Amino acid sequence: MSAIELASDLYGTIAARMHNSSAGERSWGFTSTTGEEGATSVALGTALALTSLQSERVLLIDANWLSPSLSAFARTTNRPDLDACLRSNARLPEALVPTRVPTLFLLTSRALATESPLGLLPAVVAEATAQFRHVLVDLPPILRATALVMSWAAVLGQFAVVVRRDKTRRAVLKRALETVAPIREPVVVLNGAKIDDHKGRAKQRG
Amino acid sequence: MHRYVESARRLWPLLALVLGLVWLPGLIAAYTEYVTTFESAATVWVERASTQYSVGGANDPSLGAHVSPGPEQAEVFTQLLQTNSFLEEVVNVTSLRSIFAAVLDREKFFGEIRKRFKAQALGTNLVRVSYRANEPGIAAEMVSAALAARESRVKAARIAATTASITFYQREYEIAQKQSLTSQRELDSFNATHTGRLSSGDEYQQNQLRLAVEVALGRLSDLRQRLERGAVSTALLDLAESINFQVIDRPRAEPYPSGGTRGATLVGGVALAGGFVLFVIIVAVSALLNDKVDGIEDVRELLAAGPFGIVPKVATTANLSATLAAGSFLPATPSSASERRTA
Repeated sequence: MSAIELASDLYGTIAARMHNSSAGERSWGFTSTTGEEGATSVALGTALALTSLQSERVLLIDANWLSPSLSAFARTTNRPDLDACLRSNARLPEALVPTRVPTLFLLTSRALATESPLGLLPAVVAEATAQFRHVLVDLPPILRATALVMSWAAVLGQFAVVVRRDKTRRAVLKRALETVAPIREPVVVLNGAKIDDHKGRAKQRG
Repeated sequence: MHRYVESARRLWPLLALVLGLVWLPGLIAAYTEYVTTFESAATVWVERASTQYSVGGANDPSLGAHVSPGPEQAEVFTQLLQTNSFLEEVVNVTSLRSIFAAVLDREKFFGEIRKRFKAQALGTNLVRVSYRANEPGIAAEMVSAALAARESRVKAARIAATTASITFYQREYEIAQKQSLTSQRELDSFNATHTGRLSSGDEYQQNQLRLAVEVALGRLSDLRQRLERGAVSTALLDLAESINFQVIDRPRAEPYPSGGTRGATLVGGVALAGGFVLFVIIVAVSALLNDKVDGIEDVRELLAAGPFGIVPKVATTANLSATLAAGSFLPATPSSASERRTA
């Protein structure tokens, strides 16, 4: 099973809902409560599923400066990244990293000693949404980088909190949702759900 | 509720083990209790004899404390069963004699016997005495022996009560008899040594000796009367306070288990209830301690709309992002290629 087939199988439903969203959000953030809940997998898988769902371009931004695992997987060197774009040191097209999927691009980041300035964040996101049909952002956990996540939440069309079954604590999830509630009410993606839950949900939608 | 159901589903092997460990031995113990209990009972009619000779009357302050003979005799029986000597007397005339002889801890043995005996009043004049044994035949033997032991004790007590007063007066009578004989001997001796006309002093002494003899005879007569009266009054008192103790239903040796239903039900019930309580406690504690998101319902508790998306659990979850990245990212990404493609 190829990566796209696997992603379509697991994240196809989320991708379809995003693509057919009535509100027409084109930029989505994926975060978690405290980490290790699968936000990066969901962001990457959904981006891949979106590329198989439609033919337009999809941009995946690795904004998880605490743990930029997508950038680590891409193994890019000496290439302008998100930090460079936010500092006006590079234009967005220069920082894009192509992938095996022609319509999927990656904007990497790296762990930094000091946080990137976020003054240009709305402009970068606006430029990305102008160039791409869907912009997906892998964000750090809410409760570990609250200010950063809230800054992104303010400029993104929608953002999702990924929770992992048998890992995420209810109290922590509640706190995370309450933290971002003043900016935007997020949606929740249940990761690692039992097959019964998945089938039951699909049946409800059917 | 969902959390508790999920906890029960998650912990079902542990719950099954706990229920098995509590219920199975409990039910086995209940069954064993049922099939190894052989109860035998005797029903006794008790009645007080006429109270016309009883001491006291309408003004007797203790009259209000009188109870019906049934409860009274049941209580008496219960009190007798509290004494080791009575139980020993009972056991020594049954098949348990050999076992009792070999027992080292007699208190424990008597305690076990005591637990198996039961005396209860069925009404104002009926008493039921029962015993539960582990083998058929023993129960009937024990009940019969207990009734016989009680009877022998009552008889012994009656004899002791009757003879005590008689013995007392008998001894007094013997002493008075000796005194009478001594006085008579002294008078006879005086008469023998003083023949003829007596001086006034001798006459006075003789009168004194005669008076002593008469006093001794008078006391002897009085004691004889008391002795007779005492025997009669003791007999009357005994008659007045005696109890008519008539065994209506003799204890029978039943070959089939009986009397263990209640015990078996209790043991089985406690086991079932205990297992259920443990089940509830384990599920409740587990659900309360497990604060982790378990399914859609947990998300719905926080967000009425429920989850936006559900990703099923897959075997390769740990390396899923790496797997997806390996299949979609290029091994090397020169910047020129990127610029060409995005231009």
